[in-house]
Amino acid sequence: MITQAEESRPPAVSPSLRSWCLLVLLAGAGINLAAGLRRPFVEHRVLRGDHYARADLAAAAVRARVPAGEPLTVVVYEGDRLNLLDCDTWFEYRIRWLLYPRSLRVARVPVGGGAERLPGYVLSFRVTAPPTAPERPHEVLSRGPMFILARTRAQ
Amino acid sequence: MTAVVFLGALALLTASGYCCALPSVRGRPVIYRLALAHLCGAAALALGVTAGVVLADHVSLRWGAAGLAVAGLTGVLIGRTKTEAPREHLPEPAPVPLVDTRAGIALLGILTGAGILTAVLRVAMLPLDWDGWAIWQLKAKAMADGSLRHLLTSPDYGYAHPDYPLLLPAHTWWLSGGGFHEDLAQLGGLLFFLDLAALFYHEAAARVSRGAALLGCVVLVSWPLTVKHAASGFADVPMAAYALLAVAALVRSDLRLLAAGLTGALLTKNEGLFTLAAAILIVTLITAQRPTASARRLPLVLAALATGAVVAGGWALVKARWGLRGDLLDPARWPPDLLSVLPERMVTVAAGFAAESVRVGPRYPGWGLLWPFAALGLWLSVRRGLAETAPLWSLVAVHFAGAAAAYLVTPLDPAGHMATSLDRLMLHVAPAALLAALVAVAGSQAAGPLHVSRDAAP
Repeated sequence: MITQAEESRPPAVSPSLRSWCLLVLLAGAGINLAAGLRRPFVEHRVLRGDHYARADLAAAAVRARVPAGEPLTVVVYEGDRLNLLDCDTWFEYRIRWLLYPRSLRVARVPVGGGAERLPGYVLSFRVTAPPTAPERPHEVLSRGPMFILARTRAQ
Repeated sequence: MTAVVFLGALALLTASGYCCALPSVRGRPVIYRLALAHLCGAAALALGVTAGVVLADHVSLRWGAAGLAVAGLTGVLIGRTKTEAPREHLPEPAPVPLVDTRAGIALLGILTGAGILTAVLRVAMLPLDWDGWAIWQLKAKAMADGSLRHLLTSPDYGYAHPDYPLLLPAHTWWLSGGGFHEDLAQLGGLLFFLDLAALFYHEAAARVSRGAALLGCVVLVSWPLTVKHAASGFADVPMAAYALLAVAALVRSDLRLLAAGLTGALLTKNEGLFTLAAAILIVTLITAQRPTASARRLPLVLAALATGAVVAGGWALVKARWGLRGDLLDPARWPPDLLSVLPERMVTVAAGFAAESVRVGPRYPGWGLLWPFAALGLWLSVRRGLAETAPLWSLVAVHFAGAAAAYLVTPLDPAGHMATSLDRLMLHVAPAALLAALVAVAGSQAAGPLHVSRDAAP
């Protein structure tokens, strides 16, 4: 039910002011729309060449070269930071996603030591510098700009 | 083959949702009907999957199918008893000069299309984003693999927020025909984006002129955050759609849509609890404003409380049974010196909200002039006593209060936590804020207290 008082209530803003308010709002949206249309192309170009693409390559190498059920150790490096991104954490999550449901062990090591002595299949990944190969006798199964997939031999 | 499976699964889900939403969808535009049908279907699917975990202790697509069947049948059976057509009794909103012209409408249509095209391009060209693959769609993968319980309980995957509810993963799982396809996960996200746009337009067109409603739609699809999360695999766009659906249904006294909206919100994200709290607050406001109508509001109160008890209670049972804990809802993880750091945190949180509100864009989150416009709308609403916008502002206020409380107790650094999530939490209620501000600035200003739509019963 609409009461007479409600019907006679004057509009909150004048029609012209209302138009201007909406047009200013629309102008802001227009700028966003114009920028937004370009953004998928820019992001696509970036993603084709950055650490996401390298991680995809590393995961593909594991799928191709490491038999299902074989233990796999993923080596990431402390302090591997790209701007605000903790690449070691990012790669752990990313490789778990890419290889799910394969179980894997993650070794977070300081640069220059530690996990290179890990046995079995080892995937080393580092964004800001090339990763290091295992120190133990090993066979490199696959190598990319940011990763090394190796199988160490018994000493 | 994948496309056939996707279309078949989508058709089943939508058909169930359509039946569930009867008669709320009768006589409405096709796009709105489809949007409601999809939202209701996804909520029914998630409820079925959750019920399966509660009753049978395992995640199964059969339980999802049972949820769809029960929701659809219930809708058909109850729908047959209510065939009353919506009544039109409010005056047409005044047209807005420049906007409500033929050229203006055409331009706004093109701009809306540009926003939707951007979302489609993102789905076609870009992969899932971080939380999409690390949290939400990882669970869909685990559902397809049959290892969800292992994923949720293994310390290796503790980062994937095991306590988050399962609507979005179940939706992807269903659309993939019981498997997992990343492209279909993104297509599912795009569907929720289109739902949100359609729902917003319909709700806006019931309150403001066609041009103003379309302009609001342009603003909604222009936010970089909305189009990004149409394709990212995140749950924030579905959350925004369900929150808006719940409050719109509440204002219309539409019990089934209220139940669907609350179910969807509660099973999409933990923030659905804020939507439930807002619904209870709104019903209280309505009852306080019209005590004589309190008896008629009783079903609304009961529907909100029953949905909250069943859905939130069901998910709480799952969490208790499987030992799933969240980092925010668990007081054991709050800072031990919380009281002493509270004043400092309050300043940080207030500053964070203020800073976010003036991030106009075009970089993320790119709100444009939404929040200054919302502030203007709120001021007008208060000054003129526009009760019809009160439910929408209540939703915004409760969500903001809930988000602020979460940041006050977070075990993380509040500033860092806000930097990675505040934009998405604001997205949950940004459409409601935009709608309320549009009504305040461009509405007919003639609707009765808390009585918003031209098709609501007197």
